[in-house]
Amino acid sequence: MMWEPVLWGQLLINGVMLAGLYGLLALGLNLVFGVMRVINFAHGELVMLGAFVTFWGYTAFGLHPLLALPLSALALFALGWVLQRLLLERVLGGPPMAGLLVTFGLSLVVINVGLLVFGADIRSIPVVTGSLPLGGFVVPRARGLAFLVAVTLTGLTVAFLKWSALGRAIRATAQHPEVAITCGVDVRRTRLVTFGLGAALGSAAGSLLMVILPMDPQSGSFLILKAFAVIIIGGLGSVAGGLLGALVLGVAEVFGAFFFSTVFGEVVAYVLLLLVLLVRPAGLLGVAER
Amino acid sequence: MKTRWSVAVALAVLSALAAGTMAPASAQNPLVVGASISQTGRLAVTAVYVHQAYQLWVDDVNARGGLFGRQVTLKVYDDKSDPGTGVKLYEKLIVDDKVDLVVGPYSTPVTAAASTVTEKYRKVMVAPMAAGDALWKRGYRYLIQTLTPSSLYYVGVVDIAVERGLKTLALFSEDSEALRVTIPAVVDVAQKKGLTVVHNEYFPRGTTDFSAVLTRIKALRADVLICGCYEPESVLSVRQSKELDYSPKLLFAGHGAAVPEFYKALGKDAEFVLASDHWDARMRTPGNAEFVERFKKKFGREPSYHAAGTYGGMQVLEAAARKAGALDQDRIRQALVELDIQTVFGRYKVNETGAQVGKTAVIVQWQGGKKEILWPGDTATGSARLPAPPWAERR
Amino acid sequence: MSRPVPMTHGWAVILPVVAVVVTAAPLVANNYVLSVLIPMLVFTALAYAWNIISGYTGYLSFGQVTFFGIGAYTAALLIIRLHLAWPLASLAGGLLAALVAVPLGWIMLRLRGPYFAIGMLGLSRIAEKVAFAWDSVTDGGRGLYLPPVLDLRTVYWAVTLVTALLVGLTWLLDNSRFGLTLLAIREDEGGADNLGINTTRAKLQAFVVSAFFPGVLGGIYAWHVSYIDPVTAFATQVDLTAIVAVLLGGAGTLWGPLVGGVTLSLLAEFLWARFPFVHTGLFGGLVIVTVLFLPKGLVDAFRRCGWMAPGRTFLRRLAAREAALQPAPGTP
Repeated sequence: MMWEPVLWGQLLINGVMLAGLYGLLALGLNLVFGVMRVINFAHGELVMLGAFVTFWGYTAFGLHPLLALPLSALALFALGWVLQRLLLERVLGGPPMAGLLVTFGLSLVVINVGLLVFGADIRSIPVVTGSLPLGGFVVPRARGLAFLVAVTLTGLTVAFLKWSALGRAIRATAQHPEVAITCGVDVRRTRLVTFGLGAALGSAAGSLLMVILPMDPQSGSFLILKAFAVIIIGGLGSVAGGLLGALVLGVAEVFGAFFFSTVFGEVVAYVLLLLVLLVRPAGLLGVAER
Repeated sequence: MKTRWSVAVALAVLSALAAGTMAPASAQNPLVVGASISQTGRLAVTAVYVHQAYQLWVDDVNARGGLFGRQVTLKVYDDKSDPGTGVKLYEKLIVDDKVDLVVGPYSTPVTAAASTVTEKYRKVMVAPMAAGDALWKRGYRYLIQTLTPSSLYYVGVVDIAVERGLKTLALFSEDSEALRVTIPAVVDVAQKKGLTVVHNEYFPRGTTDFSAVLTRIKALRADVLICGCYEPESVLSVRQSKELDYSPKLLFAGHGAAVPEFYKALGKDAEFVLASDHWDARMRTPGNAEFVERFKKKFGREPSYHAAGTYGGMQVLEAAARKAGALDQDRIRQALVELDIQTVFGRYKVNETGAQVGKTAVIVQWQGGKKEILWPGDTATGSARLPAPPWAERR
Repeated sequence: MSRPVPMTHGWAVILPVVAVVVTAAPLVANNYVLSVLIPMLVFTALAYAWNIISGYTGYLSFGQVTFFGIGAYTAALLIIRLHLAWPLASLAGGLLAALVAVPLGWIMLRLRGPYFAIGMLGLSRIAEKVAFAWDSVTDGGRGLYLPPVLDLRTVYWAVTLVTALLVGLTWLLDNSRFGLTLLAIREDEGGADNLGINTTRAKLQAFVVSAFFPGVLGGIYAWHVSYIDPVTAFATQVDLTAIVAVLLGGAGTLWGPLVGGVTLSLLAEFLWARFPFVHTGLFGGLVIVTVLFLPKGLVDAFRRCGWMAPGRTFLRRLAAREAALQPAPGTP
């Protein structure tokens, strides 16, 4: 049974579906790390917030998650901006662990707030369930949607970074802040925008996760670890790499879980992480740096 | 010289802070019951129900005039679903806060750690939410179980499957203490009754994708799927079964599928799913209907089995205390071992080691948005709607 | 800025007093206090151990809990299956952790900066999953039950001893060539290499030491709690708490981890006891406030306030040595 290609086809689809989830999670994280070299430990919580705002939109106003997505993203953009301004600007240039620890503290605060406001129950939005038949295979609807959104958002982000003025400013700030200043870039504002965008992208991930997985205020901390693995595999700071890394991981995980066991599938992420770090630290699409 | 004084001052400040934390509560007249809840951590979902049940019991017992003429109050800390914190917590309750009675944490691992403390101080502890059989094989005398033992959680499903002529069984379960006992017990019973187990694996906590294992189980065409899991995985397993178009004739989604949140998260997809439950709001146990009403009135939602189990455990403790006539721990322990009563939760009877022998789990099925009890037969409220219709045929 | 005050005489008085207080404490403290002090000391000791590979050598590790867990499981298994006494079992746990650290360190120390940090994190996740998967040995998610601890005082003295050893070790680092080597690696590894220092060996030694002690502490902790499972043994929270403790106290100082560990534990305990439903958030807020307003840690703040003498920190000695080696002005 293990060697039936028909099954492999389904597994491949499953892996790609999983990649959609991972790709979404990694998007915001990558952007923030790429620009500000800050490991945002609170990214999982920003995702969770986006998920719960979406959930609230659904239960209070009957908003479909796809409609709630941009609204929630906007709200989280504002929050991200504020957080960068109040907290993260102040640790710039300080000890390397500072940003990480501030975001760690932040994650605890957000989790507690989430528990108090929403309670610890799991929530999910029962829409877009089931799957579409495709030949002899099935494509899960919700995860398929997530994958499409992941690809779209990744593409949009890459295009934005490459061709828009703000995008160029972001890249300049990431690569050479001093030079960027002399070119007239408002570096500080750029950073605020970047973190806001990271939060907004995280919120988008959350909106879809609310449909795919049962979420509770503590879900963020589980998801963040896989997101780290994805961005390392894809290449730190490379947005397109994030999607590629997600694909590699998603497929590897599903095949690993099938051929060995589910726990092995869970380990695959971290084994790949280590392999990439040791063999090619820049990741698949990252730029090698000292 | 200045420096040494400064250091001394700093140390004094720190010590004062420490003393402030660790100062025992002032002696009070109320009868204090100490407990822990898993307010944060993995088990946080259920903790709210547990805490609410404690609060309801305290209200009820005080309305009856309290215990031994004293008003009862509750002292609760967060055990963070962590055994290490459990140890410290019960030391605090017993040594520092000097509570009169203690009750146990949710989950077997935390109870395992906490009970070493209560046993040391010979404080009898009713553990309303601990199911692990191993807890009662350590030779402890002061730990009392009110919940069904883990080994008996799921066995009823086998009977139902056999009754419907189903033949093959696949299982995947969370790798945790309770399920490591529950699942082998189910497998054992299943094999003895003639079912074939085609797949059985454990997944580590926090897994968010079951597509691989479900693809395999679908290819194996198992009649019965047993998912040994808590709420998040219960929801996920059903959702992904639908996504992969895997329609087992009997889908049993663990004890996580018995809570109202499960149905809310899945909507109609939750129909026909079986779950292991310990209790149902419509069970005709003494005082149950009133308990449900009061709970709904006070907290705005129906109690889950965690709430009922906690409340029932407190009823047992209260009955034993009254029987013993005093707060003497050994006399209460003796009373607990001798009692054979019914609570809202069901029957309570333990053996010499404190392990529960009177209570069984029930197997329920979601039908029309409500849970019907299928097993054991004498408590059944409905009959099984099996085989479950394939996903494609459902509206 | 005041001149460095020679503290040599002061310590001769303070140290024995502290030693007596610390050793005698369990005789007057109740078990609750001990069950707070024990984890406090465990985290303080972990902070010191982390400080060696991360504070001094500059390799910020996010996965030292790997060795904590290995020690915990080793000790637990030795206690349960071979009925070994827990001090020996903990020591064995530390030794096995150190042994495993040799090949692991050799591989991981090739990475730098955030790559090393995340790599170590990945390693700790793998270790957790291995503990789940290798259930013939570890009993998987079921966890291991240990015999109950009857006397907390022995546990307390054991962790106090380990902490004291680590403080002493750190002091030795401060006053030894090896410590200078580690600092050199932190400041400019390439340069150190060029000077002929065997950086690989030095790094590895620091890494192994930073693995041994967490291993021992893991064993003691498992004994203290009487139960261990993969999640508890390899919890990322353990690493994060140790790191926060070091940063709160002040990285790169002798007393930093102690001040940080004690303060952090007391504050966390206070919050947990008084605010059962918001203690997590309050603790998070505390971390944020510390990082924002006390970036160099409490010890540095104490020094600036004059509560503590400016220490004989590394770079001071470095600078002092430098000054001593300079040729006198005017000499060719």
